[in-house]
Amino acid sequence: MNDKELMQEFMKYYVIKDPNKFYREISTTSLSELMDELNSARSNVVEEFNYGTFERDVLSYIRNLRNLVARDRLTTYTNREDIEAFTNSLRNIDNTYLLSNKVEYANSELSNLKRTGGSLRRELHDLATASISDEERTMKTFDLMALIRENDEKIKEKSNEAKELQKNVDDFTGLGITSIRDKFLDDLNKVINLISKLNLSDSTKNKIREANNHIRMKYMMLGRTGERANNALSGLFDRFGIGAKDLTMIHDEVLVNAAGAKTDEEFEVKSNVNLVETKKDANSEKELALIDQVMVFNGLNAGSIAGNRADYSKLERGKEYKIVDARNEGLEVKLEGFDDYFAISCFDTKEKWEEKEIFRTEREEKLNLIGQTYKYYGTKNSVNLSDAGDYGKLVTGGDYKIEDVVFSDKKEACVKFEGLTGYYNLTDFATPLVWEHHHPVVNNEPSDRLKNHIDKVFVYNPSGIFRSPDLEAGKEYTVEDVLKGGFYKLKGVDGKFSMTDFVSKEAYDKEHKVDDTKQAENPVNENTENKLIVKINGKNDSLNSPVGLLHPDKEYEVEEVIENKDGSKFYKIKGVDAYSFDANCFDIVNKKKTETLDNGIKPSKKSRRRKVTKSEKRRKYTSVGLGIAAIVTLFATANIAPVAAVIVSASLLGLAALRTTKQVDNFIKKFIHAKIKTILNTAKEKIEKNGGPINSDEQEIIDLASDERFIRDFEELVSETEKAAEAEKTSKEEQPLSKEDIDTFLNMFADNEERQKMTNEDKKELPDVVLKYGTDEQKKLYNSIVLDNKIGMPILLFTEAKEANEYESTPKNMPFKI
Amino acid sequence: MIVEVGRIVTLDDTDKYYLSDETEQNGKTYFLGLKVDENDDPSDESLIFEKEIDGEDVYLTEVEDEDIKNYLSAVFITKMNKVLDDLEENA
Repeated sequence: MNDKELMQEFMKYYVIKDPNKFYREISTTSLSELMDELNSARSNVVEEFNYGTFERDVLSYIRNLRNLVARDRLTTYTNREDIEAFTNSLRNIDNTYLLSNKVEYANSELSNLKRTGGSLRRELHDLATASISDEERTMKTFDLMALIRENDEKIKEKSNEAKELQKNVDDFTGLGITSIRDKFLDDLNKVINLISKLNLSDSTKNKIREANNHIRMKYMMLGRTGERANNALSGLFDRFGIGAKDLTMIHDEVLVNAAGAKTDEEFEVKSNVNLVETKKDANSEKELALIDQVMVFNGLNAGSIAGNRADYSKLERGKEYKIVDARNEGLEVKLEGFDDYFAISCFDTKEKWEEKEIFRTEREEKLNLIGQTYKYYGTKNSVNLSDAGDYGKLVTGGDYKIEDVVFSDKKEACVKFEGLTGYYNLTDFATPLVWEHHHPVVNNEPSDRLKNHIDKVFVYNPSGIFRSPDLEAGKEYTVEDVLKGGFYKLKGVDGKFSMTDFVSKEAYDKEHKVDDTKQAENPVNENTENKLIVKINGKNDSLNSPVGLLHPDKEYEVEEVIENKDGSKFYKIKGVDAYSFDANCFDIVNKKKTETLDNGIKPSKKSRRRKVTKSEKRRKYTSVGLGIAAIVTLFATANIAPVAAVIVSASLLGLAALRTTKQVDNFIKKFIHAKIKTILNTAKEKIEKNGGPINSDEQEIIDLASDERFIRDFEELVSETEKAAEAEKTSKEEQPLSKEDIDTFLNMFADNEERQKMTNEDKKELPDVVLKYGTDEQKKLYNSIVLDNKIGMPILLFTEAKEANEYESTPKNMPFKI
Repeated sequence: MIVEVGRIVTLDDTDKYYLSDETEQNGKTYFLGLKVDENDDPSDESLIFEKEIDGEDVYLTEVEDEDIKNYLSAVFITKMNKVLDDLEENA
């Protein structure tokens, strides 16, 4: 394309307000350079909003958060509930993305299968006219038909799978896949709220905030591609005086194209956009098309149009309005009887509105929210409606009865409560069940339901290390009062105690009847027998019981059965802290009686107290090396629990630092490498047995264990270490001993008891060390031992020397200096 | 009897453990112990012990509660990660 053609092309797409300036610029800048610059800017925009990049950033962000929290656990020990809530929010983010990814993956596979089907059918078509024998044609036709049938079957299966996954996503978010990113932002907000509660160090908080800002920025950029594109290109357009109005149209084109464009060609502005002539004072085609139309106000506000200050409160949601004028390329409209220009995004055609209403009705019925009482969670998410409720009127933990439900343009559920005006974001509220069982620490006033616990008797059933020294596990206590934040005041006992540590006598006996001898010692974790093992049956899945989060082929252990007064039963699944699930959604597999549960937790054994009968100094290896060896051995031999697996995966990367440090002896390095390999393989097997990775950490383990390059590097590292260990061993005798080694050695020699424990290797070192570095007293001791043949030690020396033919008959001729 | 990090302790005159790390939680002291053989080389067993003092005797009891063990494992590995980070920075 020559300069003239380029110019025509350029003029075709863009309005030039100041031709003189444009031509002046052209006289100094080649148009081809200009086009290159423009194309480059477009490419940058496409690259900037690459979906995969965003995904990677999110996953990396989640990993970083977890690592940061893991590192800071020491300081957050007293805030276990906060950590759990924090982890739950992160898990929600993870789950959201996992679901989203699964849908995309299934759809991608579906497309591939459809392409294969098309290809096979074309082949079949070509076969009809191919120059082959009839017999061959028949055989090939049969083969192809079989392949097509098989492929069609796969398409059907995959299509069902994609639909099912999509349903899970919809049910999980309650909003539809398009709002997954908004759900993500909601969760981020929760995370941020929780961070402020965690007792983290300032540096960690800063790092988290920094990471959050980064990802939030990325998100906002992704969500506002057009604006970003606008910025990327505006500098270029400014040079030629391209007006804001035209820029909006160009911006719209970029918006449309940036979303799916992969190449410059795809990105090319559509040829039907021809704005060579400017109609500054007249209505554009888009504007004209809107005039006289009757549209329905959908209740949204005009947040998407900067500077629009129209009073939307004058409009009535669901009512029809006639458009009498339009401006800003149809983005804003004037209604009959009103002076303001309103954003067109706040109006729907009658058909679209009815469609939305149907959707709304279906959703309402499905969620069955109206009439239910929810508790305010304490968070504040955006309400993308013109009549948003005042969050200042809500009390955290307070009960609110849902009066109406509407869905924003993001299909986000917003609810109106009895006695309150305006709509609130549903994600800021939880069912009482969820509230009481999963957020007991939030400082809410106890509900009437909980107040009923007063004067009732419960059994103390503490969990983990958070047991009170003032109470006795398994003993019954009477509730005197129910306090804020989910605590009991017990009769006859000072202080307050978490109500999650108390169960009914029936529940306690049911849990502990298996082995009475274990009750007093460890009431919770001994209860590994008779556990209820369930599997989802696909019968139900809703926002209140999102079993779509669970793997369809995996068996789950029920940690707690929650029975309500109305007879409904919910399961709390071990390892899934954020939700309880409707028991109707599960089939009972069995009452697990195996020694090892699917989550890897073994029944506890009887602990044995062992007396320390001896304590001695470390004589070999560095403390760092032994420290890491202890850690990796712990994880290699233990059943890796989910939390531990997360941290191990992070630590594996940390252990890569060993490649460069010289702080670890080669023998220990080799030892550590072998253990890491075991950990990886064990974790991989476990994850695969459980139906595949369920979060990014598990995926990372699978990736690492399956990464050929990593394995190869790893093997090479082990091989190199082996060689180095051999070389180290060979050259050890030539290396000078450190002062620490010499001191340790001399102290050991001087101590009668320690000396008896010297190894043969130690004894060989004796003459060189003692006689060279020892005190006069130590040298004297050495000589006395050798010369007097005491304590058995010299025997070895004499024997070895004799065997070596270096010793004749008397100690004076020994092969070392005295 | 000195029971502290960096020492090798013998339990009931039989097994030897190198105490590689220590943490105090809720008033209790826990050790991470790596079992070593007679030559002080590491073996295939690491345990977490709770320290108890009875008169002049010191006892170590293996922690078997999975929740506590997981928590303490996280504590120990977090501390180790910090050591590794420091090493990396100073390398």
